[in-house]
Amino acid sequence: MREDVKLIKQTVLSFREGSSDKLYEVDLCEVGPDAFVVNFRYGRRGSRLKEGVKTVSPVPRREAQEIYNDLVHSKTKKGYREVGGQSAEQERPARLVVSRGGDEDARSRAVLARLRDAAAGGKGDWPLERVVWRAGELGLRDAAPLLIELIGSGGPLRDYCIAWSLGLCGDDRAVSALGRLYTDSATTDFVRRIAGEALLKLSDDATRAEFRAAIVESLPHELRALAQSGPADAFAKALRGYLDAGDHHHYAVLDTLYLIDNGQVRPALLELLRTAPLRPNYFQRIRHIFKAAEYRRDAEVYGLIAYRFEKGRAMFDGSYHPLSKEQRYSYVSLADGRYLAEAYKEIKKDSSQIAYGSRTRAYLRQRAWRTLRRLGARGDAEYVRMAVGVLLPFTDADAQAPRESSALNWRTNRKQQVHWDAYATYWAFNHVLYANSPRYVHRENTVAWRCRPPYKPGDEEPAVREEAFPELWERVPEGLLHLVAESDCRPVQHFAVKALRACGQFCAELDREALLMILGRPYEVTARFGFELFRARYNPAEPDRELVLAVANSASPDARAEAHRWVDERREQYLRDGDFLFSLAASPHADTRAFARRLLSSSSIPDAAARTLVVRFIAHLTGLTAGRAEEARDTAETLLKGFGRQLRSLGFGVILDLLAHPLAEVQELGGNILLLHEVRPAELPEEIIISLINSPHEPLRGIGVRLLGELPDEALVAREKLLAALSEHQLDDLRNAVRPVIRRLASADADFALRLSRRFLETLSKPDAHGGIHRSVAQLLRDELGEGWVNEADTEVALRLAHAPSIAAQELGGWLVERRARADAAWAREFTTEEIVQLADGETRVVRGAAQTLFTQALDRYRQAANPEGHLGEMARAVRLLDAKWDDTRAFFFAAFRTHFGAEDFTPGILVSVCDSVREDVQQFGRELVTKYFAEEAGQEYMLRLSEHPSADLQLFVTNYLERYCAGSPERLGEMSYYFTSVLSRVNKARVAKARVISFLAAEAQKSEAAARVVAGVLARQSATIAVGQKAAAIEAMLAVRRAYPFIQLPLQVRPAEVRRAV
Amino acid sequence: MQFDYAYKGSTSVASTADRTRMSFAPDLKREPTFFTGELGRKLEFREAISALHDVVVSDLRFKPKDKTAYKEWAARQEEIDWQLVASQRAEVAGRVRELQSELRELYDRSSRRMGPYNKARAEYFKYIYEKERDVWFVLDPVITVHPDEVFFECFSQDEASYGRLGASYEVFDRVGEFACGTTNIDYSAALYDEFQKIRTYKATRFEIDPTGFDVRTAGEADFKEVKIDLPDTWVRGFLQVSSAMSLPTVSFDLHPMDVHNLCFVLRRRREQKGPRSMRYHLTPGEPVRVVFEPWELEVNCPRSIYAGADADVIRVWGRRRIHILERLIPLARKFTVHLLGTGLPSFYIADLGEMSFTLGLSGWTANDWSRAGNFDLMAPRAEVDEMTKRRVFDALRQEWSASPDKLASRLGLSRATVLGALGAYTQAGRAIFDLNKRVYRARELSREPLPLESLRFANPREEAASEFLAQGAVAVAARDVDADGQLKLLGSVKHKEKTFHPSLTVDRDQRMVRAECTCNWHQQHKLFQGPCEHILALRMEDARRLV
Repeated sequence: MREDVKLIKQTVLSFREGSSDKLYEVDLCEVGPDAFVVNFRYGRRGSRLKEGVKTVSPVPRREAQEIYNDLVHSKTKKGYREVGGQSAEQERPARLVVSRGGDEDARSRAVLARLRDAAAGGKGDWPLERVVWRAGELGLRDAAPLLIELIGSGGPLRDYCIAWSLGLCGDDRAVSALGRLYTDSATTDFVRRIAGEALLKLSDDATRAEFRAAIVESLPHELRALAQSGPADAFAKALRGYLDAGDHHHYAVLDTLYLIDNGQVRPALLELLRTAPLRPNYFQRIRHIFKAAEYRRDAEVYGLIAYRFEKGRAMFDGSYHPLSKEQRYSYVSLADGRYLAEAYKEIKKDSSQIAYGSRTRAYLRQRAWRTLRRLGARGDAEYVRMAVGVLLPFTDADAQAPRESSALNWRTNRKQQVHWDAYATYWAFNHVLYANSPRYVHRENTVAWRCRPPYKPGDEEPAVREEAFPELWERVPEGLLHLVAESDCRPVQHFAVKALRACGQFCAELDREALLMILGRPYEVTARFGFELFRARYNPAEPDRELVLAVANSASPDARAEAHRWVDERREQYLRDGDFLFSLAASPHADTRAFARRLLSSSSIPDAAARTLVVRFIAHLTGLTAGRAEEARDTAETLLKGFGRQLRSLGFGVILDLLAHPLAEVQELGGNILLLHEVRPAELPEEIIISLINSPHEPLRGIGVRLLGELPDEALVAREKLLAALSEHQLDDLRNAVRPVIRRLASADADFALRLSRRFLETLSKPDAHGGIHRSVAQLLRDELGEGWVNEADTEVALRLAHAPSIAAQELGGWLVERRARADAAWAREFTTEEIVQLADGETRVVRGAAQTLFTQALDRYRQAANPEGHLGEMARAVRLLDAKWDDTRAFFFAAFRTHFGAEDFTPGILVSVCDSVREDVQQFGRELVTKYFAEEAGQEYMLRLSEHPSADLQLFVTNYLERYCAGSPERLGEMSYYFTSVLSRVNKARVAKARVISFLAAEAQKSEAAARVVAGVLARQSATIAVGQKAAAIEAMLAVRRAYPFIQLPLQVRPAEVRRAV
Repeated sequence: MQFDYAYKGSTSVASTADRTRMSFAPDLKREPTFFTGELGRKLEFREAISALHDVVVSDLRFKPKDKTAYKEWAARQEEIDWQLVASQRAEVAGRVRELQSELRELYDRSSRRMGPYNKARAEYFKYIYEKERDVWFVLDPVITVHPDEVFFECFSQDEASYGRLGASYEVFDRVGEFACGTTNIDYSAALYDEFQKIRTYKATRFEIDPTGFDVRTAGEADFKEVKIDLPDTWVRGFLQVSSAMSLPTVSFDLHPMDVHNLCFVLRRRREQKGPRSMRYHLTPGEPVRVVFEPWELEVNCPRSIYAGADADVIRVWGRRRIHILERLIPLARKFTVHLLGTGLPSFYIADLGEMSFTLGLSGWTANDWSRAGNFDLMAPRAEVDEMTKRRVFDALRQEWSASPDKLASRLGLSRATVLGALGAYTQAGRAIFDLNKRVYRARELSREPLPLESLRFANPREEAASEFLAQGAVAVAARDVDADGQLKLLGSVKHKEKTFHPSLTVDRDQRMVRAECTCNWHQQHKLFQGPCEHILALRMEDARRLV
């Protein structure tokens, strides 16, 4: 029935929408003369399709065609288709700092006129203190007599201004007036301080010395002698002791010390200014010194204190009103969590606990620039000195991370990105460097200098000069050179180099030392500048080696490359200079070191010179510390490449020193020297090799194993245990390193290989404690240990490996089986079918592949022709191969069963046991085989056996055989009764099978009484169902039975029809 | 509760074209129990053991659907829609659409590219799941060999179904040597597949492998140690169901097709809301009627006449569990149903000739506290002293199985005393009542006796509630059924000088939906940790008064 199914027509429909992608196949098949069925399959594309039947029993062609068309149409209606077809912000011009010039004379005249008027007792609108100050600023000599006259005419503030101005514009007469002011006991402290400064300014050297000597006498006795004669560090210690010992009165000594300002005092003072906290009691004195330094034009002290003001945090926030006179607002929170009430009173005390509020800080920071600005505006060359002083304290360490923020501009309704660069917050610093910058700008009422769009931090810097007062800098290029020499701050270097480039004449005259200094700076810009200067005057015929070396060691890669070329061009000349070579090879720059290595390894140096160099290099290496591992590595390489011959005979003590060095690179050099040393490994003490193998550094371990490998074979074979232990070592580099040694020994000594492989097989059967060991060992067995163990291995070994817990062992097992089986068919046949089945279910692909090979080798075992007695039993066992849980294995065996076996190899028993599988695809394959190799005489057996299968698909399949092998035989009907009951008892399933069974039973019941009895038994039981269709069919069949054989017991009760009448 | 087993190797079923050999690995830590025989009734055994497997893997607890992927998608959808709403102007909307299509293409491309990876990952997880599937089984089945029959018992993962397959020796053709006792057997998912290959034409050998015991001292790596940490609720559920078997029941027979019909109704329909009970209407001399709520769909069983003396209506829940019986329908001669009462355990015994399959169902599928109060099942049945109990049990151990009457006459004790003693042992998991043959059987559930005292109550509040009931301190003040069929109870519980006033509402599925109490514990915890002892006591008191 099924065996001659002919496919007449097939439609494949597909449906795709969203993630849904499904197929629907409709078949029209011919199963007999004018008997057709319509089957269908459906499901997701790529998955196993579910099967269904539209025709319960075969129907004539026309009817089948209609069913077929209806089905295709209904699916097409559902949507199935047949398978066949920035606007850049406008750059504003850089803001120019316009010096408020004006008519100098007119201003001087006005000042003088006001002073005269005041001296005569007049009272103008212009506050006199300001006029006095201005006179000093303008340096009006004519004003001095008037000023002296005005002393004492107002309060202390006026006296302060007069003293200040006199220091700037006064002459000898002023000295006596100031002296009076200084010595007068009625003079307030702050006036006396400025008077002292003015006196210092106006005096000649002798007077100044005398004045200072007098002040030293006024020092407390513990400082006096030390301040006079030093030494400086003793004084510093004494000063610290003195300050720590007393209250705020003691700190006043700092003012005095700055007046003295001699060689003994200044270092202590500078150190103190660098480190002292900007807090009481230091702060007040630091402020005094700041003003004094400004007055004295002491750039160093001035710059240092200005820098401190930039960096030091304010003690309290004075931006609101902590110093307000109103009691309840005037408080300050102190660092220890306390609050200080009445702060406005406190801050006025000499012993004030508070100082340096945020407003003070802001004022002082602005003042630092204001002073510079005024100097610059006047075109005073002092500007450069002071600016250098302000710039020098800044270093690269003061750079902060660039910041950015975005804010919505309410007018343009656009988001604005604001960037701040690394030094954005420093006030005077930015003014000096970037007052005319096209990239940085300061907006009013903001704290920091921001980037001017489109510039962002990290962009290329503009070629134009950016600093304030460029002409002043050009006038004093020494200031720039000073910055180049001493500043450790990148933007300052960039500025200085850019400005220096504009001073052509000055640069051309720079001497050799200056060039060496410039080349030695660690900034690329600077080094490149130095290189360009030097290149202009480089004479190839007679090169200045020291400068060439400086270029080769400079921070600019281009310059270094050029220097390398210079050296290369005249290498003979340089190769004679040992110092030069050493400095080149020990350069801080990797490219220069590499160049030196090339140079040294490609040229011959006389042995004696080479030995000296080796000694110097080794001394250099021994001195290197942990942070310079790279240099050590390069130097070691240079040594190995260039001085191999000298190293071969290096003293053993030196090598041991190298091996004991803390740097791994140096140790490695020691190890490498051992490798090429004229003393052969066999003569070395074994401890050295072992300690190298046990080193925590991977390269050293490798060297250890290499040294071990260079031992003569006999010695190594004697150390078999060590080699085996290394092969199973937990560190993978050791395992890898020892592999070539094992390979060499194994190829030379088969016994050794065999012994080792037995041990490794043992290892593979134990758990892998460190992970990876099994893999290495398996690799050794496979690739290095030769054929010996492979040929020795029996099936038991192979199976043990293939079923081992570790994947590496399984793969090795698979490999072993595959290899042996291909080479030796007899060996392959030693595996039983059960063993092949187990291998075919292996977790590892290689093992499964091996099972497939074994099966192919043992094919004859399953063929009737080759093994007439045993093939059935073997085949019965082989059927389980099809049941493997791996897709690839099943696919292989499906194909193998299809191609290698014929009808004579399959008995019905075998085919049925294929169908017995619980896997649907195997069942399907089984049905395919049954259909293909169907033997008419065994049809009954197929039917009976398959009918016991629990799956619904097989039960449906069996319905195909009912007509032919069950019809007309009451006994067989009886045998099949479980099948009938089972099909009919399926709950809400198997519609087609049920319908076929009932119609078959109904037909059978008519044939004989015996058959009718069996059918009656089945139907009597099943008729109790509440499924209407089935119940009706069952009752109908039972009625037919009753009609034919009224005596058969059936649960049928004929009820008289109810008669209903209308009332 | 920790259960430790040691197996020699694994249970294996070797099946070839003409024979099947089932070799079960027993627990070696227990007294040697073994059995060998050739299976006679193969198909029946196959179907019955498959049904037992269905019990083992049965888990009908509510599992919420994993909706994370959907929610992610919905969130994305929502975002896109809002963008559309927000974009007032047409051109913006156009741009949004354009971007959306671009985005969609990107998503598509991403899913195309990730497809193979996701697929491989899913396959890998599936592989892991299949490989480790045995871990998901809670407890290996228990196998007991008695002089008259061999039986398997198991309990489902969801702590709600109990299965027992008893096979008398007529099932086996050539019974070999055997040793009576109880043991656990190593059980795995692959076994189920092998069971499916049992056929009448294959000689099928069944053995509980005795060889393991010979080498138990060798201690090779071949031994498999299994440690299972069973939840107390699981053990309690098992004991509750098995001790419920020994209580008096209402019983009747059903025709196999009646069970088919019950399953048919459930296969055809899925309930969206409660109540989800099945109501047995029993009228003496009339066919049994089963009504399915909430549809009020009636299944008449004309071939099953109720033979009991009193009419009764009994509701049972967790009805989908009877699908376990589906495979037995073609083979069963009849099903005997034992009902304890509404909301209490029920039992279905399939008569398979020489075999019987008992399916025991707890009152509800979910044994959570909202239906709590089954601890009465574990209450002592009669006061029997320790010595007498011991005597009764030793007598039972001698014969392995005996009816209470027989034991009473042999020991010269009253029937009530014997029943009390046996009830206590049943509750402790050391004996079992065989509903089919109506005898008690000795069966030690575990190697060490179970700590009954700690198992009886799920928590101290249940214990306190049972004390209130024993003291008669509970009074039901009002009992009221509203239009929705919800039962409202008001009452009082006296505890020393204080009186608490619990109240509760039970819905038509007997689920406690609301509860209040004036005690401190309830004020603090509400129902988050289950009801307080007073609420429990009130509910129990009401249930008792109805009975």
